[in-house]
Amino acid sequence: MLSLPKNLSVDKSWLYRLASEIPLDGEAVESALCKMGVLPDRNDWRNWLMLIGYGLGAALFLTGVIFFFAYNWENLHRFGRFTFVGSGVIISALAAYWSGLDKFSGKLWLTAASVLTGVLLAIFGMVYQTGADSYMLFASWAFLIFFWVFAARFQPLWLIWLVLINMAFGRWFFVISHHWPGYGGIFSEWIILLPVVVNGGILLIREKTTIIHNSYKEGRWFPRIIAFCLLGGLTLIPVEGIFSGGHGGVWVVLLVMYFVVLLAMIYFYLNVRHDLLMLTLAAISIIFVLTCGFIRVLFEGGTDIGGIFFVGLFILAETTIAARLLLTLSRKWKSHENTNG
Amino acid sequence: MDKRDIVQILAKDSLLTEDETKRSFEILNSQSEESSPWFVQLLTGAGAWLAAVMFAIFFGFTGIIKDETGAIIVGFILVAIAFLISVRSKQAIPVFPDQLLLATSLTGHVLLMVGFYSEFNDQHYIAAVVIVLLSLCFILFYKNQLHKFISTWLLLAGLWVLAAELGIQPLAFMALLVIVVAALSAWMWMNESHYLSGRWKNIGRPVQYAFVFALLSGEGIIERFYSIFWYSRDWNQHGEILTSFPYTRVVSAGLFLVLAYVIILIMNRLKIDWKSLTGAGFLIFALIITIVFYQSPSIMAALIVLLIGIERANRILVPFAIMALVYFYGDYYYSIDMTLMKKSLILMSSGLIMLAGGWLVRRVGQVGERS
Repeated sequence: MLSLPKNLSVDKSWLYRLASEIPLDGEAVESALCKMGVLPDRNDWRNWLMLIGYGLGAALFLTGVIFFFAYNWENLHRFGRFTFVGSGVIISALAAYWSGLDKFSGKLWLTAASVLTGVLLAIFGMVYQTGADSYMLFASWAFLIFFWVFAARFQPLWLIWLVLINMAFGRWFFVISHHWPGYGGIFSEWIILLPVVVNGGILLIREKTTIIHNSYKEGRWFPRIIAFCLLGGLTLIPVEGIFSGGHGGVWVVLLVMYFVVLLAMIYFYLNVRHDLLMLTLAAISIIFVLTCGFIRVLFEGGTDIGGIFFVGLFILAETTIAARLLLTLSRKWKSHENTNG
Repeated sequence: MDKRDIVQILAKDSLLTEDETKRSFEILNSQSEESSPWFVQLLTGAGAWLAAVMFAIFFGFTGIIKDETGAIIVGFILVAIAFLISVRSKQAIPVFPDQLLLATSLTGHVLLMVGFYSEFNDQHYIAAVVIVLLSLCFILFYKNQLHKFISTWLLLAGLWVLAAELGIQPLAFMALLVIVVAALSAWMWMNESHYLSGRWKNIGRPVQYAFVFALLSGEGIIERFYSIFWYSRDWNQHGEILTSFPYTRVVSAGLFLVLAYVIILIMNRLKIDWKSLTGAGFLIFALIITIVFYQSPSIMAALIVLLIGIERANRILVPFAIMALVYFYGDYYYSIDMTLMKKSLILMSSGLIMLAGGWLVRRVGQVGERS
């Protein structure tokens, strides 16, 4: 049975510390790594090779199919095109059903079916030239695959779905916003309001429930990517306020949301679920905003280019304080884990 | 099995003396200094770099540095201050001064490079020599791990520039450098446990990572841009130099040897005889991969790093290698001169072969379990 290799998740940092401080010789360290299950045994290597074989093989095959399709596009009758891709959707979905959604292979098959659904919709739009805007493609795609996404409980597939939702909204806003009176251009704050709500909601669901993944021990990359994009987008709001004064309405709402999201993240990842990377993202956001504020204050007061030296010192001080706090936290959590065994 | 159990087993196997065992328990019970997570190091490194850029701009615009000689003098002073404080410090330097020294040193490096390059306009090898010597000193003696990483990369870049300036065929030297770096990376990583203590303990890790980064970035850059810096001066030289040395074949052959070395070491640890059917099968597979992708040695380089990452269970190398492999593979297919139809058939065939390979590995495993 294919299973994800576990040897990567074994913590070996304590052993490296011992090796450095005692010091230990190489043979003792290697022996310890074997006993800890860090070095992959034959089963682990078999799993890795299967993962690489299936993963790369599927990617290569699908890419080849796409290239084949692209080459023969002009010569294929429209029903041939629909049949070709539609068959792929059906076969992938059936394969997912036979494999079972509790297995990694089943989830991969369902992801392939979801991706091919979008390809099918794109072909439909190209063949019939309905004149529909591109946001309808992304929105329809996201709507059609939502049940699969929900059933699979597979983080990569949720990520694809989130990307579709964000692109649908972005394209929708770009198209319709020209019809709004008082529209402020595509960089208006409205463009990030709904994605903030949707992405923030998904992050909350991911952290508090098992709707999106199988267990709380599954990889943390998915919530971290969402947090990065969420906080990254929201950080621009106070920065805009610093350099252009900001303005009422949506901007104020978004500014409040920035502080709410920032404080909520700090509280949650400090007290409820320890995640140092999330706190580092929050620290980076704060550093960015404070640095922009410092630059504005320094150069508005008429300081010449020499003030850039102080900006450099300010950045150093901020990153140092942040690193110090994060390291202290990390040690405190590690010590707490050691005490509790 | 927790940490104390592991230490007890090592003591029982006579891999630890009584004193070492006692000291191990003391360290496990105490709150010892430990290395910070990679993203915190990235944060501090980014902060230091940004600060260094600000300082360099400050020096450049405020007229403190009026000419190349001024840049060299100021650069040397900054580098010397950072180096001496770090080397002479007997205890670990606190975070803020450490970052300040890092930014100071990096600023000094930039000023020295710019100063020497501009001052010796017809003798750029002098700038390269300075960088190589400076980097060696920092790798061996400077305490900050991030700086050692950067210095290792600078050392390799400096060596290549020096060779080119001295008239050595740049592609030939680059090929040699890639193969040597690949071999050193493989050797250091596969014997990683021996570089964690003693005189290597402060050098091993950052140099290991720098070698891997340099291998993949160097390969990627050479295959894409081919020395923007040196040959932008005379484009007519390009064609002659590019065709005068069989770079891809030589590097592919060299990387095959490194790949074979890594595979043999892995098989030795798993007690698989490389002369057996299974062992020979893996080596033949490596040879096939080399032949198929000889025009793109970067794929081989990424594969070597991936195998090393899996073998050493390294959470940075594995995703880094996978991303590099996907990028280089995509770049390879994008750039080869073939119709989409042929590309699609090759991709589908290779995809099916990989899927069959994965299935075969699974079947062999299942048969092995039953027997």
